Amino acid sequence: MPRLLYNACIKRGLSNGSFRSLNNLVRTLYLLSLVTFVTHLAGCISAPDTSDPNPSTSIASKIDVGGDAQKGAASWVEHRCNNCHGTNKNQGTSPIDPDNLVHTTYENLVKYIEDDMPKGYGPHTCVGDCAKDTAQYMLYWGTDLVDPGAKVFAKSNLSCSEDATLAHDKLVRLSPIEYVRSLKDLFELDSIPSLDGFPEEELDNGFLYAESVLAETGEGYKAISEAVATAIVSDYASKTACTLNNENCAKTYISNIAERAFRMPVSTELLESVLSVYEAGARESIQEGVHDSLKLIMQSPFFIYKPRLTIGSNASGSSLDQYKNASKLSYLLTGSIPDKDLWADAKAGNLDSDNLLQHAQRLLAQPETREYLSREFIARWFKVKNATAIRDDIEYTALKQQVDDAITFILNTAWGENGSIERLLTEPAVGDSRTNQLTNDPSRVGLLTQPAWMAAFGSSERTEPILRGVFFVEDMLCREVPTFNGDVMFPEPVAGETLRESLKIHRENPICGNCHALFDPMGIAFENYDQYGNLRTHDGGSVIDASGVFPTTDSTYDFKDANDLLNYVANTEELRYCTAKHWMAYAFRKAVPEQLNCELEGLVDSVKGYSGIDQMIIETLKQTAFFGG
Amino acid sequence: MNKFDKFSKDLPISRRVFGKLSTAGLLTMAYPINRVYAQAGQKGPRRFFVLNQSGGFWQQRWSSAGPGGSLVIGDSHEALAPYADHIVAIKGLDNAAGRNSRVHFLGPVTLLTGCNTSTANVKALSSARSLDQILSDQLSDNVPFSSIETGFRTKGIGSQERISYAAPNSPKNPINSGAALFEKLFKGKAPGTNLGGASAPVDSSAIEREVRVLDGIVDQIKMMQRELVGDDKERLEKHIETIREIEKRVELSAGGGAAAGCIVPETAGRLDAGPKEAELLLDLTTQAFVCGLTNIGTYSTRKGAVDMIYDWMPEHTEVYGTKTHHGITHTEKLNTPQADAYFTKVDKFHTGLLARLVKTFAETPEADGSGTMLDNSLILYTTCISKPNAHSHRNMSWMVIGGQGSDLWKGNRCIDVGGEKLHNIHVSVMRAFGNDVNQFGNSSVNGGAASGPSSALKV
Repeated sequence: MPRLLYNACIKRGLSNGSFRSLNNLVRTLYLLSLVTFVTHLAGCISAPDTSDPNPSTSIASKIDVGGDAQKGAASWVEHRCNNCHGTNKNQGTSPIDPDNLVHTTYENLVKYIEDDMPKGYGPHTCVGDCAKDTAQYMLYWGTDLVDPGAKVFAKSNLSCSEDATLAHDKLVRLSPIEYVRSLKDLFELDSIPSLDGFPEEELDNGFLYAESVLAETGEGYKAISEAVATAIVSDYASKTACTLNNENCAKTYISNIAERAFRMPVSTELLESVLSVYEAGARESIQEGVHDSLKLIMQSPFFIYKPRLTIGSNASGSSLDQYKNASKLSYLLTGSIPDKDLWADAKAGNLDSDNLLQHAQRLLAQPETREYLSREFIARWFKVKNATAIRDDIEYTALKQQVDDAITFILNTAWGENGSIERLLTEPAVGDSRTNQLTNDPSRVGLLTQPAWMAAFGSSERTEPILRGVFFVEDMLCREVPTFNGDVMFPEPVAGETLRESLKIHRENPICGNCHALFDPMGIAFENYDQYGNLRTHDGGSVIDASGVFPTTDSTYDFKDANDLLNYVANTEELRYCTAKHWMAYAFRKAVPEQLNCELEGLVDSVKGYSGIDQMIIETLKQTAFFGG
Repeated sequence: MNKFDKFSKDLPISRRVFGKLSTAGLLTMAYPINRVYAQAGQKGPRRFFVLNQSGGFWQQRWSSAGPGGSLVIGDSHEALAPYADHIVAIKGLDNAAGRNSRVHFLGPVTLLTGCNTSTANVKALSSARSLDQILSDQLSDNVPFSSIETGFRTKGIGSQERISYAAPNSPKNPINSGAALFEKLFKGKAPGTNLGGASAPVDSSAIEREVRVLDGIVDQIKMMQRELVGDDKERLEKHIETIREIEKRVELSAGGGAAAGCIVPETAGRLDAGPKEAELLLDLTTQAFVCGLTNIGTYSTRKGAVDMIYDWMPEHTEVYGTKTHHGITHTEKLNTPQADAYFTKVDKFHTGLLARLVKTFAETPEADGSGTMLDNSLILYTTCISKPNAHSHRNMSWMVIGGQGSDLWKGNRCIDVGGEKLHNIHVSVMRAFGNDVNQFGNSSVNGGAASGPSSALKV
């Protein structure tokens, strides 16, 4: 069949060179499959399907850029374009690769059709509306490169299976932060041991992803345990409350440390394993024995792994469950071993559900807990900590100060009776870590306008509105952004243009626009802040227009700027849902698995009435799943 | 009987190796056609190294095909000219696995893995192990470091920029400081110290104490394993391997274990992450190979999406209105003499680094008299994209260097494979190392995983 079409074109006077010129329109790179070719021919040429099968949830609306695709499809046939070019995914003899349509604009395509098509086969009859309609039709082809899936939250979107359970308590490794915090509390050190030399840990969904112990991580444990054990032994009498030659005291100290470190009663076999290393070292000196056995405890799997929170049945009430639940609650809220009160209740068997909740409320009221959760839960969710990782252009100390200021902002807006996710996103103030207070600033609108967040989503030379926009919809609102299977052409700022203007290809080319309409406007909303978080009104010499359209569950919201957008979003159920989802991801230390959708569904309902994040946490802890297994 | 037992019982490999290969996607569809002989005696090269220049090559100055299948060394590669007979340049490669992304760029993640990104993670993480790590299973029995990962200006990079995966979702973080790499390889050793041979001092007491603790950890892991099943048990198995590797390092750090003639190199102290840092990273990695401390290495540059800046060549960056490499690749001024000079110089910088390693390998004879280190090493000079301004994963060019002792070479030195899947090269490399596989990676997008060897290579 392709050969027949080729011959037909040649007979009409088209040269091979003309075919190549035609190809330059879209720079064809590869042939599409013959199967698809035949399939499409068999179905003749069909107009693009612009109907939306699920308008209530799909926001991947196709963008009209000036033509009528239905008429364009007819023109395509009428002007015999398909004789040489085939149609969508149908290469003909001079194929047009939809993948490469992304490199052109609607205007350029229209002009090319008007001026140059059909190449060498004049007259050029497809001009005006014909060219516009045809270009519109062609640009729809590339929309197939976008995987479907862009959705806003609606509970109906949750796929929930009532009988879904996880088989058992999965092990999860202490994150580096949890590891050194645990050591500080275990040995009652004055400060948290340094993580220098410990490898950077991979992040998952913004939270530490800690599974396999790779060699570098193992070396990190070894180095830190060596430093801590040496510090303990160098101040032996004070740290152990033992005299230098009292072997029984040394063994008791080791046993007690092992129990606290392992967070459970230590079996005879396990204790013997520790004490055998002590005995061997003690042949030289008791201190060497203590030193080596402490190193073993600090690198023991019973110390560095903890049970992951799971979905499952409620606590059975066995003594082991008491220890497990104490450990789960403690690491969830404080990133460390259970404190003395929680540990005492676990040992006494007093940790029923009510008592656990009382401990949770006690811990959440502590400034240390709030600071820890501000840094490890909220700042990681909002990627504030990225600011210290990706930017080398600003002096590190200045950037660290900005991150600390952002943490102060979180501490003062998210927690307690007056704290809420709404305040976190709309408070007109900046944090000041030197005073631990907020400073009113009407130009600011919550955490997303703090300099540390701006720095995390900008390069040294410009803002990154696309990254800001993707964060807004994907991370903050838990929407799904589709994947894209093609190559792309990235726009760069042009002198005299605002970045919004430079991004016009995203609005004019439907292949780009199908996705970018989902997040570009929400990133452009923040263009009144530069990459350092400084307020500005102009970009590239032009006045910034930060307005845009925010797609909602069932409609759209026209916003004027970031202030308007954030105040609208801060009160949506979608944000509450996403806050709960991120909390679940934090608690489970991984992306929320499908099985948790049932829990999420219930959670969304249960946290609707709570504005404070700590209140939401308490409410989630009432779900039996957190203490299951 | 679990899935590993079920499928591995008839294979001439251990259950553990089968599990690893299966996890990497190598056996997903291959059994029973593929037969894996990885543990049945090492065949082919003894070392594997990858230098990855993430941000793309300047094709205009790349090497090209000459008469009779020869290789004409391009300006970008002049430092490699003395070793032209050891090079095969392959063009027209398509990293189909990398073209499936919300970030328009999955080059580094898929580079050595040919993977689908994990569906369990919102961000891009490989769901398969990388080629270097798979090969480390074969080549690391007698070395203290199963692999060494380095990176130029890779501080704070995310998962999207890491190329080496020890396990699914577990990328290895490259060392970006020469001082840190020296600490890792030669901690406490004075420059000039001879670490090799029988005369090296051994502190047996220190070794004994460290090994006792490490053995205690392994004992406790095994206690814990008794109570576990499935993934958790496998994870702890990996932990045991890690402890054993550390044990090997302990023995080395106390003296002994290094190859004869292994001299602790000079260090330049802490550097500024500039070109000297890059040279030190390459030189230390080279010395690690020479000393027999490792047989696997990777070196990669930051891909440049954020702030990769070649700030020691300002005369080339001033004309663009941006100093970042990423910004320059996206400007409209690429068809200019300035662009030609800038991109050629960038390529020359990285090629020059690679040439330092290749030169040492070419000049160092194997202890057993079987040629030079270069003859017995396989080196890939790679990039993640072809046209940076389009973030294109198509029509990429790579180089395969060394490995003369393997069955890899066909004859032609510069071959355009016309859009063949990039990861066919990985299949060929696996075969060169004695693994009879037909597939690499687990990608299911854009035509699926590589399913055969590279047409540019012999195996």
